[in-house]
Amino acid sequence: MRLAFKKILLIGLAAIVLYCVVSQILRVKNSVQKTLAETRARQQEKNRVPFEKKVLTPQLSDRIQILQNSSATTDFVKFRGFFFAATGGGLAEFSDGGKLVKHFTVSDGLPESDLTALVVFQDKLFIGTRTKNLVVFDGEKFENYVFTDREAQAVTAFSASDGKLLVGTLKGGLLEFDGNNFTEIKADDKRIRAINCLHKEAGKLVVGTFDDGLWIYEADVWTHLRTGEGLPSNRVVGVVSKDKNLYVATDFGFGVLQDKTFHTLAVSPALSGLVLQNNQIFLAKDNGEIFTFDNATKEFSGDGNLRNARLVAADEKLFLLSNQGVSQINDAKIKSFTQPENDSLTDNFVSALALDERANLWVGTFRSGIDVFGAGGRKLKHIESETVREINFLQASGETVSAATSSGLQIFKSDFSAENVTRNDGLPSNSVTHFSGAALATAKGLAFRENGKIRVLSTVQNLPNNSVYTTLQAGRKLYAGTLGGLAEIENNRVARTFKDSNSRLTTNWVTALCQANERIFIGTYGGGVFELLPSGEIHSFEAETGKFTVNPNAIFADGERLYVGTLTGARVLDLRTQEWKTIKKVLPSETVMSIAGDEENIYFGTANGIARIDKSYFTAGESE
Amino acid sequence: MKVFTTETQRTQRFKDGLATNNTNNTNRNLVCNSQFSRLKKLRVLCVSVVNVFLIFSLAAAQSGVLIPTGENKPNPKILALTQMNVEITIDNQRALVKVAQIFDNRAAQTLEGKYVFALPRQSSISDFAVWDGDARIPGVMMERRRANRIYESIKQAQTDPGILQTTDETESATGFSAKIFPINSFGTKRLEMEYTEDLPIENLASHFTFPLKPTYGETQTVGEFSLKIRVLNDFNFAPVSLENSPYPLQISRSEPNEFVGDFHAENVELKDDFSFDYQINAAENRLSVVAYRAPEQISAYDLRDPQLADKNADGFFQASVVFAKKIDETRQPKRVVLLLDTSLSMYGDKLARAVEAVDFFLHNLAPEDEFNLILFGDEADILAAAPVEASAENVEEAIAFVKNSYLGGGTNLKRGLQTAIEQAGKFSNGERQIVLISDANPTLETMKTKEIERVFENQNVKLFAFALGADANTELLQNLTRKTHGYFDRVRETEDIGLKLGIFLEKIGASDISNLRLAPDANFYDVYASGDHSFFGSNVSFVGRYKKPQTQTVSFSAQTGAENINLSSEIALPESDETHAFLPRVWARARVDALLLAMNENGEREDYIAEIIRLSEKYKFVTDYTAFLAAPRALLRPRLIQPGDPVIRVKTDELIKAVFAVLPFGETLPLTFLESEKVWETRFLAPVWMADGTYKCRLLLTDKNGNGYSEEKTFVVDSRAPRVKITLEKQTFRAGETVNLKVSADSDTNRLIARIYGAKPVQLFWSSKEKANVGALQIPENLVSGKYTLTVAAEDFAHNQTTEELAIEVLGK
Repeated sequence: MRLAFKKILLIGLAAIVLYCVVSQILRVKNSVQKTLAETRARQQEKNRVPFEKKVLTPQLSDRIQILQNSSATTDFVKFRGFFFAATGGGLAEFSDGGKLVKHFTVSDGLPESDLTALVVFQDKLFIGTRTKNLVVFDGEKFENYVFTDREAQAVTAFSASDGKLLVGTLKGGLLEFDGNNFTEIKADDKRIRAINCLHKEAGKLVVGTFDDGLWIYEADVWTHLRTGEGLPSNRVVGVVSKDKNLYVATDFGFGVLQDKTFHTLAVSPALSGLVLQNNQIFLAKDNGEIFTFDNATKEFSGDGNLRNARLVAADEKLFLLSNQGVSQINDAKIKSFTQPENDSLTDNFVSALALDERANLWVGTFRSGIDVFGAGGRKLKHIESETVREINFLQASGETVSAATSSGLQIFKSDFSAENVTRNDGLPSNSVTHFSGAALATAKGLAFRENGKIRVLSTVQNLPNNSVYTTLQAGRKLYAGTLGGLAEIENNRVARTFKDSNSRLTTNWVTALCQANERIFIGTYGGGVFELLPSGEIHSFEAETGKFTVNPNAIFADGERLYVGTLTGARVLDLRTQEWKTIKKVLPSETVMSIAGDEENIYFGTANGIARIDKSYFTAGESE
Repeated sequence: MKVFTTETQRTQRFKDGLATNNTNNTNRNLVCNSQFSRLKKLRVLCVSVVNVFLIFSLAAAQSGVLIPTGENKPNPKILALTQMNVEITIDNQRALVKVAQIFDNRAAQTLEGKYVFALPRQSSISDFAVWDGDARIPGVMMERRRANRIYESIKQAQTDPGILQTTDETESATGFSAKIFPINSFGTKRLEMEYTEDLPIENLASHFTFPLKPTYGETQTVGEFSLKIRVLNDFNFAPVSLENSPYPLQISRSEPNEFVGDFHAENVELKDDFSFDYQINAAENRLSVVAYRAPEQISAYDLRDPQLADKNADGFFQASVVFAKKIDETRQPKRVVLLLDTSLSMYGDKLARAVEAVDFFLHNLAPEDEFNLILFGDEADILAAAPVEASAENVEEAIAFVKNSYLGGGTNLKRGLQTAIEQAGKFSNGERQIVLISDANPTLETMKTKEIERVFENQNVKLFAFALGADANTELLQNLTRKTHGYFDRVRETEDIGLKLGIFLEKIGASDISNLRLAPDANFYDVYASGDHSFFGSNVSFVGRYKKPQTQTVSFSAQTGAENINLSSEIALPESDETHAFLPRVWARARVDALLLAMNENGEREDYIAEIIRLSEKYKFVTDYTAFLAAPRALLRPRLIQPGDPVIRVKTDELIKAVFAVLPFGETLPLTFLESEKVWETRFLAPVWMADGTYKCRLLLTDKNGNGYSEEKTFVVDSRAPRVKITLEKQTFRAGETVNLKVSADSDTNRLIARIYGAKPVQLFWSSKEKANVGALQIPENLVSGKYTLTVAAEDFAHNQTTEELAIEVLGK
């Protein structure tokens, strides 16, 4: 009995001790967990990214027409039964058969046209943009999420899983969105920059960057892998997992990760990505060539004539996106999914505009030659060759249209045949930026075509700088805007120069000149617009407009207003009221590169297409 | 975004990163891992041997820097220069410089680097070697056609060669660069470099510089630095200004004919060049002869070619004559027609230098001199119908004439010279001279050298030619000046021309010495003179070979005006003497130059070509027919991107079928091949947030066989003309007074010149004491009272130019 009591006592004591120990352990554990949770919460709070959410209102108006190409596709997803394509010309919605259902532009509320990535998250379409952060589309309206504490520069990649959305950016780091808040994910407390692609699988996050290799987060540890660890290049373009192996594509080849070291499986310059489809790895190059990989790479499809090509899987199908739209890949066959836009711009980057005497619109592009559109909007001609590629300025004169290009001056007749004036004819440089009559602005001085001969003024003859951007013939005087100031030229001699050191010009780089109602306006790179008064004094509009950058020769006057193309929209000066206004939201891009006009409309050539705006839009109360 | 709208042909120098990978991709199927590894090993083996190419002097160019691949400047935290030994021997005006450097790899990984060495102009590399552990691996000189063949065959074998030609695409060659791989982790890499340079004597002075100061960027620090200089000369000489040297020499020998000094220090910042100037003591004209005779050394490489292994036991000699200065010579008034090329080929830096030369030249004329000025392109524009006195007003009028001119048209050199000869005929009396400032690349009327030379036939006029630009037709100008007993010099468009102009100017109107002859002797053969005529205070030398070792008399004769110069010397031509080891190479170079000249005049000959190749290979110098092995796969242009230059242009070998650029701001672009220019090109947009600076760009290349290459290049965006601020102590000056200028300018400004009416323009230099660019401008004594504009012209490394003006008041005397 006593023995039994002792046993019970001992057991009781042991139980008490055990209880104490366990409770102590639990308390310590709870305390540690609490501390950890608090630390995490503090860290999360510290890494929380403030943002503003705003509903984007459509800018629909029959007085505004947007002309842009939406072929150059960057991402492609299925959302609510339709396919959506992110393009350089807005968002395009397609039916299952590839028929264009709707083309969403800035007029529909998009904050910009250059879209970079797509993902469906919480039954909404999340759209990455080049400069305006995140856009969310619920099928009806667009909302804009703008990060207020950082310059993200571009949203470049998405990954959605486990109720969380990962957002990769060029400069703003890696962000996680839980539906309410954004939190930055850092690698060892450092921002991950220039994110190119994201891949998430059970317990593992893989971040590919533009120039800094690969980051892998697993079991609370970040690992950084670069070329030193066998990666073919530090620019990662795609990541997939297959059979517990991590395959990584870079722009110089792809490899597999084994024991924290990459083993190169194949080398291919300009590889643009890889996808896993039906347990098969597909690789694509920037030119559209496609390969498969099992134990070795094998040519699959593609003729290699595309640009910016990449593969995506959507709706369990494989698609090839490129500058020429979307193609579907099936059994080694590539079939166009989207229809070519024959009457659209060849390239959205419009660097020059002119209207000829038949009211045809000549559209000069930054890299892809010239499009000519008839008055009815039909494309009459696309002109592109080795010498007609990079267009800086267009001007119609009688039956001819002249183009200042990086391959000389091209003079087109009505049948589109061209006469070419180049270095072979005596130009100091083939790089012609602008012209006025006989004067040609070039990268190596101001050239004059006189009696079949070419003579050049340079810094030796007191031109402020040899990089000449713009010219203006005003009566007997010729003005030349250069990198180093403005030159006033009389009788082909530099009579006077205007610079920050001898005038009220605060920025020497003169990019645009325009005469409006006998007034001479000077556009500068960074200093805004100035006026050269008849007295020879320079007047600054900085008090009214602040400083801004005027793009080369993006200036136009119609007698009523002066229109100025800048990096932040168009500035419009009412020449009667002297009031300045800014036009931004209705433009396909804030970068306005060229302006032209006729009796009724003003055409703004931007980095993402053209906006044709009826002049009545600029009357009081209509502009922003 | 920052939008650039034009293109450039600018051929600036550039930093070539050469992270070249090479793989096989036959039939567009990508290679598998094992093959890649094998190829990588082959690449390593090949590149370890040597991969050398010449480029125009680099942005960070200085003597011997090793830049880790992927970086654009030396990084001592990764690759540190721990030891540098420089051995300089100047033997009778022939400098031989040997440099040995040891770099430490302080990283935990094997590195690749780019070795950059800025060669002095007119020097030539004679050796380069990389040490791989205990093995010294020398560079190989070979026939260009053969080098091309080997290049192709190695490329077929998927290794990574290249080919080095005399010049890169800039048509200039003052830099030397080599890719160095592998540099083992925490290991060292020893590099050796040897070059030779001929030092002229001008005004009985000679100047040697070893470049240590960076032309741009940060200075390099060396853990242990030693420099030894030995100067030997048959003429007595004395070093000048040794006490002010940043590398003070410990003099161990200082004799009339020999000087030995050395410098040794630790943790030395290489922020100044090493210079050594010496004065030849020649009170009278003197002849001296040195000789060399030793068993010919046949290297293992030479043994591969029976012709190279052929021995020739004959000796080498050099006879040098130094002409003493003419003390009693009174200055004669100069009668000069200045002929300035304003054709389109002179565009840009060349014209800027040309105008600077005209400015300098005219302001150095004395009032009693007479001149006329002709600007020529396709036509000739003359300043005045007849020559005018060199008064201050006429000089300024001439400067204005230049400034009000146009650039344009082709180059009718013959017409320009004919017009100048006509004008020279109008001088009242005295010797007539034409000063030609041009690149001498005729494009109109005639391009034939002989026809142009003919315009000087039966003309009593001397031509003094100042050639501008790396592409100047020096052969033509040298011929013309030789035939007219004038003087020739050349400068690159980016070079500081001040010193050269000074020397050039002294030659004009000075008595020349002609009919330079070394008396023929049966024991001598293949004797070559360094020039046809010379000047007092200068020298001439003859190099040749001798058959029999013996004591004999060497005689020299020349003529100056009506006066004869006869010199002779008795010399023992040795049986065996290796003291002057430079002589075989100097003779070989002279022989090759003579053969090239003969072929230029009379057409190519197979036997001459064979001999040129044989001598070039044996003595290691690059000619039109020979090349070092190796080179970059692609050259990216432009290196310096001005706002008007938005394009990337890539020149590749013909096998490349696709080029893809990965730009630093997150953009990728395929390049288009321009058939007409044979270059790959793309236009790019630099985002507005991209500040001026140096950026990296990766090029991904694919050749016709599917092989892939990745190369990293750098380029510089410079979108701003230099900003200049002038500071003066006061605003009013008296005529004859000195204006002390202090000018602050952007850090990338590399040239500042100040001018005022009537005064000689002056170049401003950085003063660490003043923390500004300083210079002294002398206001002319005879300047009349009034307001004048002082201008300072600035130019930066991207050749953006700006001019700043300041009004000052001058009170005349």
